[in-house]
Amino acid sequence: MLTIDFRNTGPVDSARGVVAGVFNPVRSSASWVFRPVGNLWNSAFHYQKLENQNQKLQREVDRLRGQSVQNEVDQRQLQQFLKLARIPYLHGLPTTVAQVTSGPLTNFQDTIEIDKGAGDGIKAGMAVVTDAGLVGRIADVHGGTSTVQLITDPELSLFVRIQQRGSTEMGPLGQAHGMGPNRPLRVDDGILINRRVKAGDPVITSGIGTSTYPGQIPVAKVVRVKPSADRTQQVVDIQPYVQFDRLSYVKVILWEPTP
Amino acid sequence: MVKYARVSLVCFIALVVQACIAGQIPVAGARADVVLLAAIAAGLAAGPEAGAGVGFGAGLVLDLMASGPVGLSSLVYTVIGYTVGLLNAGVLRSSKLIPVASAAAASVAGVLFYALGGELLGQQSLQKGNLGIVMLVVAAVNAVLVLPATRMMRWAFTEPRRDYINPRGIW
Repeated sequence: MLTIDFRNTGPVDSARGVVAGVFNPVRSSASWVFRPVGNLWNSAFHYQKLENQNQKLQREVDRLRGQSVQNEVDQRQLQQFLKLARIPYLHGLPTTVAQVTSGPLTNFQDTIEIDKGAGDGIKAGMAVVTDAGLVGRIADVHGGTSTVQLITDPELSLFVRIQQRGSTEMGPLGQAHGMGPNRPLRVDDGILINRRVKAGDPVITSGIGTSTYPGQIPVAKVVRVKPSADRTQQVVDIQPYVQFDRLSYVKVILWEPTP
Repeated sequence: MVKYARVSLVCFIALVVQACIAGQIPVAGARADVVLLAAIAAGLAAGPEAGAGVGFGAGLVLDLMASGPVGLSSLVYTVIGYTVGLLNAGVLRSSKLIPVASAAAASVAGVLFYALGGELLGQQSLQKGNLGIVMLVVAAVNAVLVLPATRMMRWAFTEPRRDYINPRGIW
C-alpha cells in the first residue's frame, strides 16, 4: 500500500473518496456535537460567550492586521507591480468562504478540513486565506469538503517577496518553506547576503512565474535574519500573520495560475 | 459475526473520537492518539492477532481519512498491536500496572516508529511538531485510558453466549 501510494498510482484516491464520503458527514455532525467539549477545555467558564467574543475579536484583529499590511504594500507598490510584473491583485479575485470543520487528525499533519468542495468550484492547488493572510493551499478536494495544507507544513514551499519598510522598490525574492506547527517559516534560498532585510519587514506572496498563489497576499513578518553557512545568502525566519490554532472561517481564492 | 460487528463498532468509535475530540484538543501542541490506543487495547484484551487486526484496519481507515502516506499508520499500529499482545501473553503475574506501563511504552514506540517511517518516506515527520512532547502526551493519555479501552475491547472480542430457550420446556 505504501508503495502504491508513494508512486501515486492505483485506487488510493478512490478509496480516500469513499472513506471521506462515509466519515465526513459523521465528522461534521460529531464535530458539531463535541465542539463544546473543546470549548470547555479551552475555557472553563462562560465558554460559549468567550468563544463568540473571541471569534469576533479575532476576526477584527485579523482584518485590521491584514488591512495594515495590505495597505502598506498596496500604497507603495501596487502601481509598480501591476505595470511591471502583471501580478494579479487579490481584491479582484473571486473567493468563497468556508468553515473549518476539523483540525489536524494526527500529530504529524499540517492540514485542516473545510466544508466546501468540488461542488463549490474549489480545485486542488487553490490558495486559502483569511483577512490576516495566507493560510495554505487546497491539497485534496472531495464532493463537499476539502483538505487544506497549511503553510507551516515542511513539504509546502512558496515564493515570497520580502518588502522593505519605507521603500518603493520591490523586495528580494526567496523561497520559503514550513518548519512544522507552531514554528516560523524559513526563507533559505534566494535572499543574497547584500540585500537589506530586517526584523519586522512584511513578507508577501510573489505571484511571479509558476507560483501557484496570486501575488501580494500577506504571508508573514520577518523575525530573525542570519547568514547562510556559506555566507552567500541570508536565512530569514518569518512568523505567519495567521494564527492557525484559531481558525474558524477561511476564504478560498477561486484562482488558478495561467499555464 | 456479532464479534466482528462489535469490533467494527469500537474501531469506528475510536476513529470518530480521534477526528472530533482528540484531534481538536491539543495538549501543549500535541494530540492524543486514540486509534493507537485501540490497537494496544486489542492486543492486551485478545492477543497479538487481534491487536494486529485492529491496528491494521483502523490504521488504514485513519490513513485514508488523513492526508499522510496511506499504509504508514496501518503498518505502525499493526506492529505495535501485535507486539503488545505477544508480550502481554507472556506475562505471568496479573497487575493493573502492567497494561498501563505497556500502553505508555507502546505509545512512545508507536510515535517514534511513525516519525521515522514518515521521514523515510520523505514526509519530514521529525520536523512536524515536537517529538518529545508528542511522545509524552500520547503515552500519558493512553496510559490513563488503557484500562477502560481494554475492557471495551474485551467486550468486543467476546462472542456472545447463545442460550436457547425452549418455550414448551420439552426437548
